Amino acid sequence: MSSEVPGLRWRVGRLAGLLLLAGCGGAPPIADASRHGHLTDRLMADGLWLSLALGVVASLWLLAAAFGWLPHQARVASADTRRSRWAVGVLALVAFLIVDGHLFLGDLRVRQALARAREDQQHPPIRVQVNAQRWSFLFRHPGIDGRFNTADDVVTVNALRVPVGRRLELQLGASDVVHGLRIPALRIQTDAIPGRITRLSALPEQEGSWELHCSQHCGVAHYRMRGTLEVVPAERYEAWLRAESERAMHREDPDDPHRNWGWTWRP
Amino acid sequence: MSVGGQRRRLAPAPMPPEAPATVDRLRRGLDHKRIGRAYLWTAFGALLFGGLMAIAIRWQWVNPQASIPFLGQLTPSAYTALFTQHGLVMIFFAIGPLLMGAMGTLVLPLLVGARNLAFPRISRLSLWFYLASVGALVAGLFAPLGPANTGWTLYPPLSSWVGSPGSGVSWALLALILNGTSSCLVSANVLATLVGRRAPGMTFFRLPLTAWGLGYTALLNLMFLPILMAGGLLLMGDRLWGGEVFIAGAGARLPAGDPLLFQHLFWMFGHPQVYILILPAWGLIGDLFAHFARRPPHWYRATVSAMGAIVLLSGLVYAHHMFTVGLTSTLNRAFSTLTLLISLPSLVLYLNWLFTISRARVRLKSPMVGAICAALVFGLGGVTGLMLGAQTTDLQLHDTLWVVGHFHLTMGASSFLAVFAAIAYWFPRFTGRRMHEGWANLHLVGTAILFVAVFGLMHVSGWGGQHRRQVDPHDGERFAALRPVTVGTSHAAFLLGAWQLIFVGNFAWSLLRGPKSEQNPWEVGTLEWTAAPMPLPLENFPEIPTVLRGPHAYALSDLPPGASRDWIGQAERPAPSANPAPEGGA
Repeated sequence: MSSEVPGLRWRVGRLAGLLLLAGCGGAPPIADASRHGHLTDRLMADGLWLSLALGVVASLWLLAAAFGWLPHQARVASADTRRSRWAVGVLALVAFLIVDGHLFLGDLRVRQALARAREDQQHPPIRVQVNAQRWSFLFRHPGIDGRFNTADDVVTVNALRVPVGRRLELQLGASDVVHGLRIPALRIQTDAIPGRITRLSALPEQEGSWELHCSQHCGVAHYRMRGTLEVVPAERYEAWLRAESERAMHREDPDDPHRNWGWTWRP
Repeated sequence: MSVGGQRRRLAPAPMPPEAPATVDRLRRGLDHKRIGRAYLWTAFGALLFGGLMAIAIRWQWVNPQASIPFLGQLTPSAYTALFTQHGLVMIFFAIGPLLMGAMGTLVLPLLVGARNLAFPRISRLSLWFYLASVGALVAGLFAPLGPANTGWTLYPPLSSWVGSPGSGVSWALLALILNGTSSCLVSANVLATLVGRRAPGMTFFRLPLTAWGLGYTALLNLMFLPILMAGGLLLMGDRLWGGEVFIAGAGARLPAGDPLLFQHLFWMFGHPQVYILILPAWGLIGDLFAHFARRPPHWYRATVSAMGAIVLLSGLVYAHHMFTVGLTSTLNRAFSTLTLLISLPSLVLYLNWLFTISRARVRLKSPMVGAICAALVFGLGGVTGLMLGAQTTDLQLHDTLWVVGHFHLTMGASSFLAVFAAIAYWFPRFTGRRMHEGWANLHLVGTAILFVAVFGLMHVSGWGGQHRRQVDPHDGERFAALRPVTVGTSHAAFLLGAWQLIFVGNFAWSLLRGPKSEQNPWEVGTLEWTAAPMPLPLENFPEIPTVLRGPHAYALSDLPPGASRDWIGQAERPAPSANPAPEGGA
């Protein structure tokens, strides 16, 4: 007698689910300035859709069962049969393989693609050392001589300037507490931890100015610990680095305690 | 006199006539119901405090320059202390004690058919440790240079003297160590009760799922809390006794310290902790689904095994909290794989719940409504955790509000809803009165919807890149597009807070004026409803029942032929006219 009504309700439920999915799908609305960001974005979008679908199906099923929208079963010896157990096992496995499997393989593919991208390099990468400290980022470029911790190093505060189209390699340390460096436009994030060196790499492909910020709670002004990534044309970068490097050599103050925080580049 | 006459006092159990009054008082003092009630009220206080802090946090997010009632305008230092204390209070002083301290102590002996927990004195000791930890926490609020403001994760060197001078963090660590001691004692007691105090015939597979949930939680507590306590003690050593175990960088005098070691210790505990805060709720959901769908739980053993598998896996996945610290790619991959693997038993668990109630005639009484809400909220929170298990996606969401929304839904919102369901369910058992069904349902459904609104919107903010722990989330017009979401989250949170007044009112009214409950208001077969008399005597059971069947005997095959009702007590002997069961049955 009630076969019509549950059918209708099911259709309405399905429609609502689809609307929800359509409204929420898609990669995060954060500008992408990197060559490989789209790989991450695609996995993000896939992951979101799959997770939402799983959540919507589970919730609708739960509500339908709770409100008796599913046709009632006559009272039986037990609803817990061999068949129903198989159904649970198979459904769990299928959902697991689809959702987790997709995330697992997608993750593997992105990681491998990023690793490959790190390997093949036509040009030597741009290397920058980062010292995170409360509440700023110091960026150390090796200067004209290409070596770190020398007198011609160029150190900037909260502004990371890099040339477009060149691989960027960062090594990070922290001098006081644990910080994090997140550059959303490059889809990268890692912690900066006192006593160790962590690494980031990306390939900025779009000129412009992008935000970078601290992504680990580091104290009262954590929320203000941010800076900019400036992706500039290669020539402009070279000119800037040369000029700053020469200035640095003239301004060299051997008594400056901040002079020597750099380290020999770790392979 | 009628109202006063209705006030129930616990009838004393039969005592040997020579027992002196002091022994009587001692036995009353050690009664699990009394200790459990002390846990309940203290944890309610913590819940209120933690909830008010959450409101203040959301107030700050709407307008960081606003003046918050009673607190004034928050300095960054006060705000960071606020979210730190909110986390500590909710996790260690509200949810944990509500589930284990209160629910475990109050109902476990009744579920297994025991007169008390296995070690009543240890039970009382654990309460004292809990109260002492509350004292240390409160003392920390008034510490010189302010309360701990490092985030509940207490990462050194921020939590060492390098980042946190003053004594706030030391008090918080003391509170955690005392609290951990308390939880370990409760857990040992719960396990001992489960192993040694089950009534005759109460095999492990005749235990209600709630008892399994509590047992698993106890196991996790005993395995992993000592790791946190050890980490806390080492950190205390760094702060007070000149150690440098976790200190590196400019503040270090020796080259040997490593801040990451603390993170390993913390998350080795911290991830199992989220299961500690949800496992008792899972067990309860499984039981209530069965009781109110009038069906045995679907595939009881698979549910029990799935919970066990999750317990095993929970200790092997912790480093997914540390994908950003630069572990080797092999380690990251291993932890990511194990993390994703957890969804398999979780799916089995959830599907078993769904199969239990599918196509059944579900009685939508308030405990069931609470259980459904808890399961729904847990499911929604669970699926958003998937993306935090894979490294690529986690690195985009780490430290954002996505994470905050995810763990609040799973181990906060869902656990609280389960607690409310438990209160609605066992309220008649302990007070002899019923709660008002309508108000209880209104509270539960509204709370669930608002939970999903608050933490669902947080997912949206996190998806847009908004980080957590921001004194001024929209400083300098950042995330301007997310501003409506931020404001919406806060308003939903305020409403959520106000909505709890319904519960407070209903609870108080029911306690004083609620209609009297009959012996077995939900018509279920577990021991606490069928083998213990209605005003619960001091030692629960006049005589220890002999258990004959499982806790959810609703199937036709479980009932004696010609039974007039659809349930039968776990220890109930069928009427003599029926065929006596030859060997207790399977």
